[in-house]
Amino acid sequence: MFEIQLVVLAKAPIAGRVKTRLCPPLTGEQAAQVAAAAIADTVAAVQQVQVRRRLVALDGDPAGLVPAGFEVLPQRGGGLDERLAAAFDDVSCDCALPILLIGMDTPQVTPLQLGYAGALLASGRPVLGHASDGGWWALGLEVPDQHVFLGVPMSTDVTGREQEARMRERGLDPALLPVLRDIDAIEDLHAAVSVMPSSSHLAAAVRGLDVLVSS
Amino acid sequence: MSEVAPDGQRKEGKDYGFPRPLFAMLDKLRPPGPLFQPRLWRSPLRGPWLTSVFGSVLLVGLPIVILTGLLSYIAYQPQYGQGFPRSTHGLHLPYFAWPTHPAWLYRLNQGLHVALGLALIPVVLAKLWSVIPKLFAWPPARSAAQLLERASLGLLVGSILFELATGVLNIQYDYVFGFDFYTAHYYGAWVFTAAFLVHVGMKLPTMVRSLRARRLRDELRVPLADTVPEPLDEHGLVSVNPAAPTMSRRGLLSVVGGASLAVTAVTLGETVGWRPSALLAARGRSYGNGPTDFQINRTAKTAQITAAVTGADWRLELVGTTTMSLSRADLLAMPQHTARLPIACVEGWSTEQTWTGVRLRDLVALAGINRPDAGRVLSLEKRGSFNTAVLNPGQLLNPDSLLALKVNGVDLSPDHGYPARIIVPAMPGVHNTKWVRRIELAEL
Repeated sequence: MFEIQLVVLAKAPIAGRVKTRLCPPLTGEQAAQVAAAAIADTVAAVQQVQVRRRLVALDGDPAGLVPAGFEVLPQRGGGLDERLAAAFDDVSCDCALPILLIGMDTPQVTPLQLGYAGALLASGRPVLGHASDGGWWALGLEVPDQHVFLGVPMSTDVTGREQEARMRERGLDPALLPVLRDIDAIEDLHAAVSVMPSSSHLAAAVRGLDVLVSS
Repeated sequence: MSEVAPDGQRKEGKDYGFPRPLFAMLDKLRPPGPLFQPRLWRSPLRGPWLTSVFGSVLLVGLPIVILTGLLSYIAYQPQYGQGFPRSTHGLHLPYFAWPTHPAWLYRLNQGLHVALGLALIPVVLAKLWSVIPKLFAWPPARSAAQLLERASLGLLVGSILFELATGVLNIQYDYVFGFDFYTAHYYGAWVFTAAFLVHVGMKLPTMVRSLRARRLRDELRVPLADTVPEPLDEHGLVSVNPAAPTMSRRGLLSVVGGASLAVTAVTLGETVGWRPSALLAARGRSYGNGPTDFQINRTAKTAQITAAVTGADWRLELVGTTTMSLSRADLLAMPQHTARLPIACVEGWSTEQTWTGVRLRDLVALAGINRPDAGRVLSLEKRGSFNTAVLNPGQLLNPDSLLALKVNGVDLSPDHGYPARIIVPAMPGVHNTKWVRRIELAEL
């Protein structure tokens, strides 16, 4: 049991609002299916990690998305930096344990990787997991600090670097987690599926796509 | 061809090759003394049939020893710069990724190489005894072609004795020679292989013909009283001046075969894991009692591994997409897998134990690596040729490949690599790195 709280930051999979970089070749509807599968796999990985509290910080309607054992926390704020800062604050309101937050674009994340991050965080070390496109997929703090997020340019190819620099400015020395490739374009989708078990939601979703997508 | 004169001397035809005067003169320069007189060699058992019996055993056995030796070189995966010798100047079997199935592959390979090599020593000696009159035949050559043939025999005899001697000394850890064992034994093997092929090419027809001359089964029924020399032959093996037999051919074959079996009996135990019988095994036969009582080549003390570096501060550095640092407790918290796997040493000993630890493929995944290229494992050991090893992708991903933390249900002992060691099916023993401190992985 890791003495931490694990939060998945997610956006409800509504066609036209999620994974739009996959369209084309996917339709908005198909991209939404991929997004739903990615959330399901991420949540499934989180379920296999023994932590004190599991949450989904959600933008949208939780119906059908969040399994038992997870608390739902509505996102608030404007830009992603504000919403991240708010999520950390809100989670810490009810429980003061360290918080590990992960995104929904790396469904290939394994319970072992989450466990490694959890062990570090529980021992007092902040963590940051860079994504190969320049962003980040996981960030863990022992104590929430909105200045870790506010003003960091989000969704750019230097976000991860900027985020790490900001953490260091705030006196934090993050342990770096394995670099994961997040699903952005169609090639990333293929890469993720190729390393995930065929029983995963994402693999099933991609098998169900009726357009021929090739990487 | 030669005929036999009434005085027992073969009357050789004066068919010298070019330059004729030179070879004729050589013939006349027979050294004084009895050694170069054919009459000196009196055993009534020598003859082409007997030599061919020994030869046929070696014809089957030695290619297996050669092949397992060359395969063992590949098992060290020289394509990653870890062959011994380091460079062979292209003199090797084609490289391939050494497999992990079946787990006993390297055990079988080295068991065959060493056990068969040892068992063939009495046969090699018997065969050399059976042809020793040829060493003192005079003239040594009648033509340039014959000179070449005899030179190839020199290589053949010299290299097989060299290979057997260096092999035996190596498995006894008796490095009396002032050169590198691997380099010498490896190149010696190629010299032997070449000379062996030439010899088989020249002598196979003679061997087949000689073996057909009498049946082994019949020969084994002949008692001492009925033992007579083989008919005089054109090779000069049969004595022209035979003494009365003191032993039958079946007696001689029993002595040689018995010697092979005896050598096997006192050494095979170290390969099949029954050490009490391995009287000639160089490693001790017991390592105390309990679950960690099994073979060790290098102790923690020899490797200068102290409790200070393997204690609570020990961390596994796992280098993948980032550098991760894992304590033994972290590793024990990961899914544990148990596998019964042999460690098989190049020297022929092997031992099968039950290992428990983290799957290497879990560490690969943990490090964020999807399709690993070869991975490097490094030991806490500062010196030594085997303080690091490269594992091929198949070795990293085999479900039984472990970073072992326990053996036979208990923590690894310091001598067996505490806090963590590698164990991979079918991999040469020394590549199962002990006292691991770092694993470096990269995407293919």
